[in-house]
Amino acid sequence: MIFGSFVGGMADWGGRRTFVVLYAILYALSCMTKRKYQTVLKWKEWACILKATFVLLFFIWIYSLKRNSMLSKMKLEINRLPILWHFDAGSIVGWCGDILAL
Amino acid sequence: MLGRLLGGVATSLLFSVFEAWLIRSHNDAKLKNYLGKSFSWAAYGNSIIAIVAGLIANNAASAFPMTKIFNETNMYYGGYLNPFDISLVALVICGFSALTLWEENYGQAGESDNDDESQGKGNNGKWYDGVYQAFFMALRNNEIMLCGIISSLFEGSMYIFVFMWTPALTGGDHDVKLPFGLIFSTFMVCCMVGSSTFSLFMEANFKVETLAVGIFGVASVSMLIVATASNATMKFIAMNFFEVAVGLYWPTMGTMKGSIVPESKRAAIYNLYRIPLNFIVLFSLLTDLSPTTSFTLCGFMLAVATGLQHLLRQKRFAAGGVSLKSNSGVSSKSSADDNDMMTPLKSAGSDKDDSAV
Repeated sequence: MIFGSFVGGMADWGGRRTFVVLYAILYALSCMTKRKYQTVLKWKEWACILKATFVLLFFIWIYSLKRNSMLSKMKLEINRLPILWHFDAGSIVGWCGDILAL
Repeated sequence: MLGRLLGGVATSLLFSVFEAWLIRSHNDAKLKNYLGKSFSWAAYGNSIIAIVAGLIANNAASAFPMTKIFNETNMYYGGYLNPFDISLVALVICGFSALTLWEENYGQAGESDNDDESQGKGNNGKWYDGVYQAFFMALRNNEIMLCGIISSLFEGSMYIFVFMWTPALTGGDHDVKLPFGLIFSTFMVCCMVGSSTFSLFMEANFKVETLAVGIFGVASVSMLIVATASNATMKFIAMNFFEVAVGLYWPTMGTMKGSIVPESKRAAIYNLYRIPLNFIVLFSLLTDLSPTTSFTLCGFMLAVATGLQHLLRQKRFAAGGVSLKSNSGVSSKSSADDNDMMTPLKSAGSDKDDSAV
């Protein structure tokens, strides 16, 4: 309830119409979760979700670094970093493998 | 668990953002005098939609049984999932309509700052500044604080009523078969009567502050009758009176909050109002009170709300914050315009004067 109040409290800053749309999305997602009854996730499903979360957080972090101009100051172009390409491709292959194995 | 978390956040947005958007839009369109009328129509329409939605959900749930989508998965469709799927469609339409038909509005820091959108954001501060400042504003300003406590007490009673009316009418006997759909529809019709009556009160130039004292008083007496009456018919009649009070409450409180809460922190303060409300509901659920105790508690809370509303009314009248033209129910001056009160807030990050609609 505190979290909800905190999120709603940002509507004055982020735009009230935007948060009305956010309301519709969140409630729709909430309705979608009802579809899965007796939700006992297998360990592989949990691993897949965790991996996806970590990778998503990593990319958000990289993006925030880019936005803060830290990388641009160092004259690095994020899309040309080969390590990221490898990581990206590896992750996608890994996810596909995990999903097929379920 | 995830569904409940998402639903909880969405409920907070439902009871704050729509109202904040509507008040600001009335202000922008120079339709402040019609705010009470809009709230009255919204409460009326809400009751009709509740009845129609209940009928659709009931038919949808019994249309076909719950079935697995694929044999290997634990995903289902049909049965009690159908109403959720229909509401999903309604929500998509709601979101799309808001996105295409509504104009964006932000917490505005002054009547003259109508070009906030050109700045991109309502306030120049950080994303958490609004919540932080709203918290201290609610603590420092007595009228905002009183308004929050009163709405929490009334809405808390309302939620307890929602959980408890069924066991109160059946007397806890599971074998008693009552026409619950019909009873719920009667409650909704009473809500509609209440919201329509609000329009009549506004046309008779009643001030919302005075009207609210009467509403809370009637609601308090109704709850105490439900708690003490031994006759089920008497309980039912008292419940209907409470529902009429609920129908009157939404437009009255919407209009009153529109004049008390400053525009710049409206959504944030409305969300803060929900915290004590949630504690009241949690208390009721966790302590597992009997229907009689619950309704006695509701009657007591509503009596306190009546007293506090009387105090708020006196403060508003004494401060001259209530407009002479009560047709709108919206004051020309916000309680949060008090410069003394706002000084520490300005130093906390906002460099503009706050004013309500």
